[in-house]
Amino acid sequence: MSDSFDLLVIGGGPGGYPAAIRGAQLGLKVACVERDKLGGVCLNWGCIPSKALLKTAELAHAIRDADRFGLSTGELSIDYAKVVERSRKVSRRFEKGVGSLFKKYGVTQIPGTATLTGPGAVTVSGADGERQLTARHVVLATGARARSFPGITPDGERILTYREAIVLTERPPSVVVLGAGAIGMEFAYFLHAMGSEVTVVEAQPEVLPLEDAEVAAEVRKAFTKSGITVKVGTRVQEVTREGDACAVTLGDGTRLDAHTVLVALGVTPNSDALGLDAVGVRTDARGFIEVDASHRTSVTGVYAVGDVCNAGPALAHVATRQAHVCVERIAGHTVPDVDPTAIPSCTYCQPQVASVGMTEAAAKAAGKDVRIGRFPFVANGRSQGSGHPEGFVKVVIDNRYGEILGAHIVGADATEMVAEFVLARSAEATAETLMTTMHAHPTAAEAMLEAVAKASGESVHI
Amino acid sequence: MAEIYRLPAVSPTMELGTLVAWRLEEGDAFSSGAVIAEIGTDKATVEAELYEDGVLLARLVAEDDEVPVNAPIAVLGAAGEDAGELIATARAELDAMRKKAAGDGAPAAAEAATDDGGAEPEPSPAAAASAPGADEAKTSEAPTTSSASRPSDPPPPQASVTRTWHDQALPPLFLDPPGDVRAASGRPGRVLASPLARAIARDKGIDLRGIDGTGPGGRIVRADVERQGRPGGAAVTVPDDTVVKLTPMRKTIARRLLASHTDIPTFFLTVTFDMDGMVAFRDGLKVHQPDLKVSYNDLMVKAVAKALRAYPAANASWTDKGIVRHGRVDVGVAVAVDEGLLTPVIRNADQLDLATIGSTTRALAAKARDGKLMPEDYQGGTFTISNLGMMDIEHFTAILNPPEAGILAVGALAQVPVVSHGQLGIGWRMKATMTCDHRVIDGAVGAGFLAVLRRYVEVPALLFV
Repeated sequence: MSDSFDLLVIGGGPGGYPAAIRGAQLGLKVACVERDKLGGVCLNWGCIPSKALLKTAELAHAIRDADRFGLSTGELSIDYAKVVERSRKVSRRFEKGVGSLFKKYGVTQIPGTATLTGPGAVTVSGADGERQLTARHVVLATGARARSFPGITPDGERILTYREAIVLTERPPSVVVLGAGAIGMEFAYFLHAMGSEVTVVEAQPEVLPLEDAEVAAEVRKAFTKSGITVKVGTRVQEVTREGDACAVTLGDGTRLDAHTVLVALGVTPNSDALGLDAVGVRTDARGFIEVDASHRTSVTGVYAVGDVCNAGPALAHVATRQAHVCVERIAGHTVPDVDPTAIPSCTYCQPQVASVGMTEAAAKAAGKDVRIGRFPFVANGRSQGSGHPEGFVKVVIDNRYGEILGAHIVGADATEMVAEFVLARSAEATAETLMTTMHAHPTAAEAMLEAVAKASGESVHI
Repeated sequence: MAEIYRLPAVSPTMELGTLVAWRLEEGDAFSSGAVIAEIGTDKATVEAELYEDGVLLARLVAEDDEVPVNAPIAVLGAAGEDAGELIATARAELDAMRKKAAGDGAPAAAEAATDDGGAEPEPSPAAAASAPGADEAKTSEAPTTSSASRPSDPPPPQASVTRTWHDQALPPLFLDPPGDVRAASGRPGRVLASPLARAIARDKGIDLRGIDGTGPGGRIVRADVERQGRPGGAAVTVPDDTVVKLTPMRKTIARRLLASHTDIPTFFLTVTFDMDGMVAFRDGLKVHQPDLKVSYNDLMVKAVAKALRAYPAANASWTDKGIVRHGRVDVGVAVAVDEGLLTPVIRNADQLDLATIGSTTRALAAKARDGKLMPEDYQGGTFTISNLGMMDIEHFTAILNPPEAGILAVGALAQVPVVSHGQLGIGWRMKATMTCDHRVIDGAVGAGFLAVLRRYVEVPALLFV
């Protein structure tokens, strides 16, 4: 096997594997080094298995609520191990899928841990020992892992990160979730639906701190109503293991006892063991690799995409888009920069949250002259029929040209709906475009049309 | 049963309308199709028709009143009906709408934009009807039929909402501009551009043809339009309009000049002075009296003053009592200052020597620029000179400074080709235009004054006799 490549991708997650496949499609000789499972966190411990678990949670809610729909069921019993096993199957299926795609497009898959040893030189340590590789272009796509803080150190048994929590085979009777970002909120929703006693602790004044404040408040209210304890504006001092249980000390000295603690306080990049210093690849203060709009690092021939680089939020689809831009430019194609204002953000608890672009507060802080339109699903026929009248669509529209500056959806199918708004932003559709676009009736998607129409005082249904 | 008649929106973008003329009197009976009034928008006047039979019980607005769309403007009913209470209700509503419309539009618009999320929204009957099985939906009650509103009344219009981008939709949105697109852009067929790029181009008057798009498939996107200047230009940034606050001086200038320009019948007389003598005279002064600062403006002040003394009909003002011929000759000199212009006055200029005229003028101009001019420095002139010659203006007209009846606008002194005794030569010439208050100065009088002035200007020796 040759040890010299046009493109060497380090990491096989949602940044790395599309980079490798795209490179191969564009005629480059490509290898991808992965130390664990193809598909990375996303496919194996994140996006994909968590959605399988959340589907179980939604079904559990639906069954408990069946009487309202005229159905009677026996009491719900949960086989937690089976729930998790289904999610593992889904992950395995996709992990294998990435392997088949590599074969299909001729990407050489190299298991092992890669380290940069010089410009275009990489050492891979694997089961068969060390191997020296050279490549004209090296793309670093090693992702990130859960961040820990002094006094909050995961032990992998009771103080967990998403990585251990996603493969638990027994349901913890009580859980304290630290951090009310997407990961924290999704686990909180899932475990509560499975019957755990759940408390969410967030230092910021509102859950989902990156989302529009109104939207986040809606989710917090729904959580509280369902029986999840939500403590916002609350710092965590320390988490300690006490035999078979955990104790969480809050900033005000209050103590929370729980069987298990889930730490979901953001991510830290997997950049420390890559040999960056030896080659001179610059990172920022928190270890994220510094890149330009083409994802070039400070060293010629070395690139970085996804969670490990300092561009864009740590989201799988951001990594994938960055990989496309990076590799297509390496292959000499002209492609536009990744548009930071057209990045969808999704949280898959119920009600779901999905958004793109500016929050109302951000638009106003930026001095934009905006109009706001809101449409509640309670006034949408399909949502009522589906028994999901909760939530609303909120749009932030620039007054001058009708540009959709931001769109925020909270509701049952928010994450599936947001694509329309993302397309509107990336294709530069205006409010007019959306208002003159026919939306199928009856669908929850009509609420998006109505919200936009409402912003210009033309909503028919509210 | 009596009902309120509201100002109809006769154009889709109309927010305010003017009741141009009533076509029915109070008490008039009408039948369907009758015209109640003529409604004016800023674009057109339209006859408003009635669609039922009845009697006009009350007119709530006067002709020429401007009111918001949907404001109550009349009460209709049956003959002999007592609708006093409804009329009072309607008047109250009209007053409220007028007050709201008179307030700043911007806050109202902001309110309309943000208020809609506040109240718990309820599904409209239409939404519920289109959603079978939506029995959990709280159907909102049908609007109650009260004396003040009918079910068929349109909801109150959001007249105060500023509809910047939406109103711009009037030009055909999805049609491409006419013309040979292939030739302009090198691409066959229609211009590919994002809706946002189109909106910006429309607003800034940029022609999309000829812009190379950098979006997918060569589509013109926002960045391409924003990079583009106006046709033929490189990158042009268009700064926003700014508003210069009105200073008291600016307001005074505006008020006085507007009054002068509109109230006084004026006409203009233009002459070209032969300046060869004046130029020779001043050159001589410069050589023999280098310390004596005498400008052409000083010479013109002296010449005009002498001419006014010799020709009192031009040194006059229109008053209620009659035309006042001034005994004094006080010549104002227009001076540009930062915020506008002032006309300090050289008193008794006909009797001052050139050096004094020069020093007085410079002292007053300096005071004017420093904002230290006192009313006695600029009030009470009998004639004004405005000189833009030093700014290379060949010829212009000035607006009278009442109650003065004349002002002389002096252009640039220049060497020009002249014909003299059948020979083409070079001569110093200067144009001047006198604005005359026709109530005081007729054409022949003005011409007579300019003939006298010509003598003083063209033969400077006369300034000293």
